[in-house]
Amino acid sequence: MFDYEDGKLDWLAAGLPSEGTNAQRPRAGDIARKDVPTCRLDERLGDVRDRARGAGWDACVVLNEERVVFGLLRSKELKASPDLRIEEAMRPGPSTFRPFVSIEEMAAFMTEHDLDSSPITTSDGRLVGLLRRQDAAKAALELHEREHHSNGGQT
Amino acid sequence: MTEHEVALACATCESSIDGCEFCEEPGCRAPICYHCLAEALGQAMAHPHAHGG
Repeated sequence: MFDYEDGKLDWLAAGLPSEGTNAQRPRAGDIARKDVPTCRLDERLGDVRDRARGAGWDACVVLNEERVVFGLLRSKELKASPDLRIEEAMRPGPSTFRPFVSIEEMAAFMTEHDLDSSPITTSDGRLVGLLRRQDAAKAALELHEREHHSNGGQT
Repeated sequence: MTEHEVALACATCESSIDGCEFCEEPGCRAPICYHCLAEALGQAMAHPHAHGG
């Protein structure tokens, strides 16, 4: 047995396993897509766009060698001039969210703010995956229905 | 602040902010500051009272 000195939030933020009733509820890190395309700062936007769209994505996460998130290319950024370097085209330092955040909260915020995707990272900034609004909303709805039915229809 | 910049306030605590911490979009209708967002998403806990109670 040992004490994890950085605390419970940091443990959860690293995507490490947890127990208890709440551990069964889907979290942002569970629903985030791990197969999101990634790229480096010195790549050419046209090449990255072709690669992302070829894989069926309209987004790409910009990482360094240690998988730390440096930037994000959403639909708008991917439409820029193909000759731009990624560091010139990306949204630098995007807001990122921890894997333990409730999927219901993320779905609600993403809907309210009309945001298509949000990067999910550990507390030291390493990419876990990209959470898409449609995936978050679907998971939140399924969770609501499951809990509603298991509660005998009572809210 | 230049004449083109519009003062923005957090929709939760009303503190002055440069932009919405969640979506970072200049036209956000419900901007939120870093601290309120972190608390809303459970990424941080509200600061306890100074006396620890």
